[in-house]
Amino acid sequence: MIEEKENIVCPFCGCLCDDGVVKVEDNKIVGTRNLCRIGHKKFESAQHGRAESPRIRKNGELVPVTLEEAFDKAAEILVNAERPLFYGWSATCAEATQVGCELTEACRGIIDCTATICHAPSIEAIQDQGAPLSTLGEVMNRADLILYWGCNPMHAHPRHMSRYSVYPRGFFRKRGRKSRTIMVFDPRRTDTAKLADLHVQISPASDHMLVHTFREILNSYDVTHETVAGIPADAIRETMEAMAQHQWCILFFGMGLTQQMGKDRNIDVAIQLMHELNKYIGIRTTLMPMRGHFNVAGANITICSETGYPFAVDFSRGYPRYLPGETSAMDVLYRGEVDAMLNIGANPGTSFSNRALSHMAKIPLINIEPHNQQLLQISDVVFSPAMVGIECEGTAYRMDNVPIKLRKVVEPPENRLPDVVILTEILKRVKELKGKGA
Amino acid sequence: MDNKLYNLVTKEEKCYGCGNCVVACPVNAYNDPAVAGGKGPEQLDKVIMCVENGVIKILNMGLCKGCGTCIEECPDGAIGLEVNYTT
Amino acid sequence: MNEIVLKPKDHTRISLEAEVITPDSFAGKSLDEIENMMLYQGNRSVRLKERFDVSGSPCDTAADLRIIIDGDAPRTKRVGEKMSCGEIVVRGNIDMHVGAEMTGGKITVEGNADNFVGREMVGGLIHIKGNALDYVGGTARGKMEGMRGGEIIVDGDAGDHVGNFMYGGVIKIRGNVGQSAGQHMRGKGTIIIGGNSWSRVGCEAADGTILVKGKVHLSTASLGYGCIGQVVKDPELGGDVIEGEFYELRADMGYEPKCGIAKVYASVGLNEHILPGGRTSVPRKGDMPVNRDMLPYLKIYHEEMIVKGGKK
Repeated sequence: MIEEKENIVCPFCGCLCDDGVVKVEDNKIVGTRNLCRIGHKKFESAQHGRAESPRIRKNGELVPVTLEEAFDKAAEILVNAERPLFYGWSATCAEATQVGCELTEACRGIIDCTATICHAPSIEAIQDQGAPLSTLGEVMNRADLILYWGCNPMHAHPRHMSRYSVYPRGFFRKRGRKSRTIMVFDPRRTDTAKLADLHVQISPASDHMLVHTFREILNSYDVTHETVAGIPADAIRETMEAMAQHQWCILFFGMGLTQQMGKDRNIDVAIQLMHELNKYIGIRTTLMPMRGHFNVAGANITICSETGYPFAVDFSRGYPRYLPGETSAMDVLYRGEVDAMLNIGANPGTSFSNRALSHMAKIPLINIEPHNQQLLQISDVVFSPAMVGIECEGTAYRMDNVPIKLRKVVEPPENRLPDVVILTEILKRVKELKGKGA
Repeated sequence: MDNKLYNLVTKEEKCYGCGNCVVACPVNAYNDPAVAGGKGPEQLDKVIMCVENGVIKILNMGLCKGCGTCIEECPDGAIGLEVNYTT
Repeated sequence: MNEIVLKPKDHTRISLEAEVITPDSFAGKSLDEIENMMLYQGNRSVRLKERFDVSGSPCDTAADLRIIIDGDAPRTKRVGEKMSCGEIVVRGNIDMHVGAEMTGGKITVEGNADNFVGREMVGGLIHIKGNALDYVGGTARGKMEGMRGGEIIVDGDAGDHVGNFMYGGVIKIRGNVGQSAGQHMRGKGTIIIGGNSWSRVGCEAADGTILVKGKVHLSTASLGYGCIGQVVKDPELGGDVIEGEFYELRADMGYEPKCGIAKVYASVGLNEHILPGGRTSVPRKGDMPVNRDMLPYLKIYHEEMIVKGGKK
């Protein structure tokens, strides 16, 4: 008999849609309703292609072992390491990250989350400039001007527009889409751009210049160029005027702004622009990074609440230190400083540079990952956990930093423990070994 | 198919399951307050379409008056109107 | 002057954190005590003698002490951090944070230096004879105050974000610099760039002066060409008179005037490409990379500027 489980939170992207319906038959997921194509695929394929539970690399082959043996081996690797790296945390729950922080402190290593290769520049810019932020509920009820800059929610966060920002009817925006203006700043004619009222097709990597030009106009200087960033000066003036007609504006920005030349400096000026819009024109303006993984915001928040810094925290001296460029995962791997690594809830196999990966292949690597992924080929200890949000509960943070409780839909397969339990067991053994040494 | 001037046709292979059409549709929003606020439909017998298994699915064609709002909100042409001239 | 020579023994991949290598902490200690000072490596600590051969003559006053790192130390961080007097000479490459937060004395690096040279320094002199990487005279993340005083000289090239959040002091780069030189400058600091400057010079700078003897790449519209719009001959900067003709430009038009006006000087001879209809010449080897041609759109009139400058 098919059982419909309602109000299931989708653990895929930063939207964390909490209205999903999942159909379960005999502990098997057979279908979903209300979830987008990506979310449906996450649930549908959750129970296929699972990695075999604990394995250790012996003589070049991953051999199945008991959980106890795998825990012991993992703890031994971490205790013997001089500069262990604990990376990932974006596709697991906040509780696991909490244990992870404790584990990092016990091993005196570095903890870093996947933000380091996506939205870390946003965080760095916010540290420099501050940021006017809001929740998605506020956007739904108030926003009448929505800017999507360097992001494509139609592909990356398919339900973002329909669930939170553009289409829903809000308290002050009673007609939904018709009460709002959408502007998209993107060099490509994306699917999001097709839905926009205005698509500003800037030339690639010139966002910084365009933001600055907006600031010049706001500060009552004229544009001295005929064309800026591929856009005629008149069009820029008109865009600014159109923006000024609104009451409440939100800027959603993505990798297009954070990972191009200048990185955090692009967000830096964008925040400056928001500030000036608030100050001179009186449009209430806020901004929000479009976070990718379902709990990448949670990883930042949890690491920040545990250690005081949002990512790239170095415990090598026993107390937390933070300096992206010195203690961030990519930099320490690039310099070959790491001598053991634990990867959880991330797939560096597809996102790290070749040089970082080739160093990862040389060092002992503990991998906590439910599915068969590229990184298994260079992992030395493999745990296959229960999937957070599908097979066990946990807390995740939406892209606007709102915590949402993930729910359990089906029972995990045999021998699959939740991330929290795996990390706690490793932590227990690390503390025992450290105690013996002292 | 209902005997109507306009019929909704869907192309599932093009659909992202974003739900823009579900939420934008005035009939859905009027009949189901959850849809008006952006959520997925809660009363399936009162809405025209919903997203099922990650793609769009027409539930009650009879409710559709052929206003075409859903078509405007689909960037990929996964939903369209078919004019039935024979009736 | 008494000398203590530290000869690096072997290179490890994991960086040493050697903030104890300063004349201040070596002063008044015997060679034996110096040998037993603690360095940090990863999550372990090691004695200085395990990584360096120590020799020389110790002395009691830090000001009379010269520490020589006799060889390559590319994985030794924080040398000369918070030093206030004396001298450090590195005969090779050095890792990050050399001379960070120093208040006085002199550091000479004969090779190259990694990031954060003279981070948040207050006084003293750092001379890098090779190249330096990013954040020369900059800040640690999240801090709002960079270099406040002193002088940094880099004979080679420097990376991005030279003089980030700079409040004072002088940075002289003989070669080219990367992007965002002098970004967020807040005080009366001076950056003199001998070579070319990649994009976003002086962006969001509220005060201070940046002089570029080579080309200025325009990828920010906010360089206020035409705003101040005059040509200055032989400006005096950082205690030196710099020969040549320079356009005097406002660094960031977005900033409110009450914060002060940050200025960018760009040499007249090499910056014809900023003029209307001017095209960047074919890039030569060693020239700054030119990837996009956004330059001919500027409406500044060379003649007008010459006239204005001439009247002055």
